[in-house]
Amino acid sequence: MSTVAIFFLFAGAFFLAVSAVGLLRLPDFFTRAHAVGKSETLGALLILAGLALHQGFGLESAKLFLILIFVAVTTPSGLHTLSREALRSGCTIWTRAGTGAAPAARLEALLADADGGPGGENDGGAS
Amino acid sequence: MTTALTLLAGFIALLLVMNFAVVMKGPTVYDRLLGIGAMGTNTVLLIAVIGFWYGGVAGFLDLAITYAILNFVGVVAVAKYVSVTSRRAAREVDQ
Repeated sequence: MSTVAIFFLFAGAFFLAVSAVGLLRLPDFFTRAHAVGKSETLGALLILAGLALHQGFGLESAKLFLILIFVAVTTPSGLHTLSREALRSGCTIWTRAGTGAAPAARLEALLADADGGPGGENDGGAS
Repeated sequence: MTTALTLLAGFIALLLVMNFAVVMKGPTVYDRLLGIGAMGTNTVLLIAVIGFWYGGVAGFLDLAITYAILNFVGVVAVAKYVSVTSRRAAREVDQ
């Protein structure tokens, strides 16, 4: 049991390190959000599962399971909201040429889609 | 097991410093928010690991649950606030 728990803990630490390095090294907001949104979630889940395995069945593992479910739901959805707001306010998208300028037609289509989607706060033709 | 928990807590603290470097550096405000969200997730894990290292686990896990909820609500609220106010300012410049 303890060996499996230690394996889970260090696998989680590895994925957290991948997330932190990606956050430092990647060139663009959206690529950085991609690194955090997947790798950080997986690392957090592995560490919480390793702690629950170490503890065994009981109140503590029930609380750890609650934290696990909450982190698994809210980290990707929060980063989705953050990326959507960044796209709507016009963050530049990284391209391979390294100029930081996205292809204009594609960016305009993305912005129109994000602004006109259901549930968005349109300005009601005020401008 | 205590040695592994100590190593893990130190490693997560190191990752917190790396995330804080992103919060300092980030060219846009959304990069800073991304770093703050990552710091919050790492802090939840650090609180849980320190709880197992220290003893009274249940109280530390309550703190971790509260920190996870506050982290999510804070990041989403600040993202919406920054986005809405910046677009409103751009619209007023247009007029």
